[in-house]
Amino acid sequence: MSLHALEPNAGAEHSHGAGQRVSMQYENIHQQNESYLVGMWSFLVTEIMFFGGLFLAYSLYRVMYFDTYLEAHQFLLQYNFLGLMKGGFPWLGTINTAVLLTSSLFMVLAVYNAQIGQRIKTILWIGTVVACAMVFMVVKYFEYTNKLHEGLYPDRNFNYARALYILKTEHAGHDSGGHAENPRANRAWTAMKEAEKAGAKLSEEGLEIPATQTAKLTAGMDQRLTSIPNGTIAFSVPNVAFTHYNAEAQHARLFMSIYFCMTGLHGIHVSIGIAMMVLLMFFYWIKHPCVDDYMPLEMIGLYWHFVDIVWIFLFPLMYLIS
Amino acid sequence: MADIAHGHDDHGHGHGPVNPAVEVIQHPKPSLYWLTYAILFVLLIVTVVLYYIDLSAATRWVGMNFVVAMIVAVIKAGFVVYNFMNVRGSTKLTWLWAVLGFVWLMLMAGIFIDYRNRPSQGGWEQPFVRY
Repeated sequence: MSLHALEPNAGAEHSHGAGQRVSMQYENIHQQNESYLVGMWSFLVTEIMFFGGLFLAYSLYRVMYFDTYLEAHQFLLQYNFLGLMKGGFPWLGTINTAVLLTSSLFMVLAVYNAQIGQRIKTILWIGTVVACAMVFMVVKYFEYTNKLHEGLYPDRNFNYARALYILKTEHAGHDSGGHAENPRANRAWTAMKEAEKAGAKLSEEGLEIPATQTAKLTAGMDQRLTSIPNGTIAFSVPNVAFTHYNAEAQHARLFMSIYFCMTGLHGIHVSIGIAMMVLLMFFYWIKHPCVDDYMPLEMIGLYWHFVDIVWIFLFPLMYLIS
Repeated sequence: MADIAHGHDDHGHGHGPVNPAVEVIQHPKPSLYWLTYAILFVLLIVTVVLYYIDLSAATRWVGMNFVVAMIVAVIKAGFVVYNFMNVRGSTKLTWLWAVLGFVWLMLMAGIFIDYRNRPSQGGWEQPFVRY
């Protein structure tokens, strides 16, 4: 009530009941609601600008290195949980999309209950949204740790050859169709096989270039792209297969960078959403005056739907490249 | 806690003196939300099934799968924006802001087309030179 102390009776003259109070700078409750919403929408437009640039970067590189994208996106499909989620089907992405769509529904129901003044129901519906968001983050956790263990995180331990080797050998048993047979999605693998013929050692550790293969020293050789065994000095190999592989690995690294950047940023948005919703649940629980008005929840709802929309685009772009 | 606000159509906005110049936000009924959810779920299944159908080979154009997947995604996003984010019942100013986001994406598409048309990128006609 202290929030609106200047006009204690402002809300009473409106049909919305005592819950929504008109602050002194507004003509009436409708104008106040509109300015709340427009404020939130303008924030969302800045978010669109922010994600839009990333989608542009994704699109440009996708067109440039489409074959690499096609090959690298298979890593997002490989996940085996208790033998249930067989490779080749985008389990994690599909589950997360379904979870987010469901949470969006729960969010609008929470907002609806806030509008009709059902405080307990509102808290419960927000709770279901938070639960969905938690499920999303847990799935994301498994997904990310899987990538980290396979050496696909684009830091200095990035080892595309190793990840590809594991993909082609360990997961080959239960690759049900999908795009593994597509020759366009085999460029790096083909290059690795040819490099192996040329003398490089292909194993679980990745692609190792023996010192005997090396011809001339190149300072610009990117050591991060291959596994360099101890006692070996990295040289540029005048073998075209290895050069091919190196280019493919760099493009795959780009794909993984964009993947981690976009899904990670989306994950941060989900985390912020969780924090905001838990805060709102607390406010509803203690009957804080700021949630007498349903607008705070409505605005968090708008934010949440925006997060959902970003995922609606990320899912086919990242997981379903065909 | 019946004193939480309700902004519903059936609770009559007409009691107080409402300035006619101010637009009133309309809120839909929950049945619409459930319907929207069902549609979104069906579209999710469509998205996943599309992954396994090679439209590109059928239509002899390599970008077909991508374009159809994006159209489905845009339809899904449209349902979320229109029904869940309640643009359907919002004021004209909110509409304007929602459209602005779309305008920005069009700008991004314009930059994309410009960039891909440049000779350094091979233009549209020639395949991109790989190295």
